[in-house]
Amino acid sequence: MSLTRRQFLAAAAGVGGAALTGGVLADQVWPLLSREDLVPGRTPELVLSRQAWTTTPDRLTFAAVGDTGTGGRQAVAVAARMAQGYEQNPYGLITHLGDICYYGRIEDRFDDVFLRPYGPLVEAGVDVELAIGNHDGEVHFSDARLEEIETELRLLGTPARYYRTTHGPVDFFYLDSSTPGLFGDDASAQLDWLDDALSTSASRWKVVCLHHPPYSSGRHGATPGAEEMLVPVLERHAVDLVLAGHDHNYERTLPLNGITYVVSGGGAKLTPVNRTRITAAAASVLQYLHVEVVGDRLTARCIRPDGGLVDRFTLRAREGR
Amino acid sequence: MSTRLRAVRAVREGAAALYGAAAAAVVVAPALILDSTATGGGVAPSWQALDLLAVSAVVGLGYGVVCYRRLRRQSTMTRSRPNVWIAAVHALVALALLSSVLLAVVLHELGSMQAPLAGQEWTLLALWGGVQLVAVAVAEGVERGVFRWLTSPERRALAGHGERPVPARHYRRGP
Repeated sequence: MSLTRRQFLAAAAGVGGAALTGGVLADQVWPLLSREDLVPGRTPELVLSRQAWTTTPDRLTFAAVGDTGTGGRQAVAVAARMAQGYEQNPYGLITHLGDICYYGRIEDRFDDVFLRPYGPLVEAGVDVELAIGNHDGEVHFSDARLEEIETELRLLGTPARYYRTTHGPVDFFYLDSSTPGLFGDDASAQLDWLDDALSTSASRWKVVCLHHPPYSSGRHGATPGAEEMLVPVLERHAVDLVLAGHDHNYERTLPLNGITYVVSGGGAKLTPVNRTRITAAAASVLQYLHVEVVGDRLTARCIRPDGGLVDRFTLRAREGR
Repeated sequence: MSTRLRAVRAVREGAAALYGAAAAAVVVAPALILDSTATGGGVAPSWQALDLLAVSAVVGLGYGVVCYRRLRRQSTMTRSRPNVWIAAVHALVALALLSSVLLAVVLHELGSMQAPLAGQEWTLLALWGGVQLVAVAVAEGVERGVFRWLTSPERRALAGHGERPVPARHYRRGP
């Protein structure tokens, strides 16, 4: 069979186009569809009883979740599970580990990414405390971004870019790990503040929350500079638990000089995670962390949207606390 | 009919069926990817979550059957089978690319309209199905355009110099 010139040209273009399209779909488009959470999620219809939790000087239950800001089906599935978790074991606090809004400005999307998915919990009176996230790696620090952060803080009623709160037996220290927040020119001011705040903390438990993980085996990996700048401060003051997001997966490290580092960034999107020598548990799943502190025992459960248990760990309070 | 002719016909029909299945698969692929990601991430499987897959399956299977029947007919009747298959490959490439890319772009661009889309389920399904129908329509346009371009010299030659060419829609049906 002989081809005419037109047929040959068209056939070559077709074969080339097929190869190119196959490459683009397999390398770019389909991974993007599976990595993002673009389909709008249905609003959860649960009604929760208001302020059903019990917080005493010796007892606290809280939830930790990060990277929730899509408003998509997966984000809503995690939020719905958190609401069901509240029904079973109520908590009065969500520590949000950053990236509360993707795909636009928080001012425009606050309803979609926060009030709609988390409506039942907000209605029940649950507090949300935010550790500033970076949104995404390609977003560089700018006046527009600073304005975005300040809007987030205002909408959530967060007092400052880095701050400390106390709930029951736990002191929480929230850091702004964006650049230059913790790893740029402003680092010394924030680290000095953290050093002072940790040294004056008298609570039995010290939990540090930030967006960028000091240690991670996920796609972004350990945050450059964190091990040199931040970790010595955390170790000096015997912090118990560090909660982070940024990588869209779950990972818990083995205790590193007494500190357990957890990445709880599966609030909406998914990226793969490996296991390294410091990993105690890891999974690329949508999830949140349900934490219960009773006396000298802290028990955390990592829970998937279908209610499945991904990981469970218990920490004992440091001696002398 | 001789054994050889039966074998040739079976190959042509098999190729047409394979093409139809490929067309259906690339339309259904985005919904399958979203569904498998959510399930793999720990979202409980449910009938409600299969709505997009159902819409894609209707569009994909419908278009797959149309492609199969057309290719089966054309590959036995047309004067120039390479033209049919070259045009079909172009159409499949366009369909594969657009059925995924258009969805990603449209869903991303409509990020600010999540509440109305989520509040009325049919609008989301209509949007999803509509975008995929647009991809199908563009793929059809590509197929017709490439076929027309490939056959235009022959059609002109058949019609004679200075006369109006034979329309592609008549030409493609063959003798």
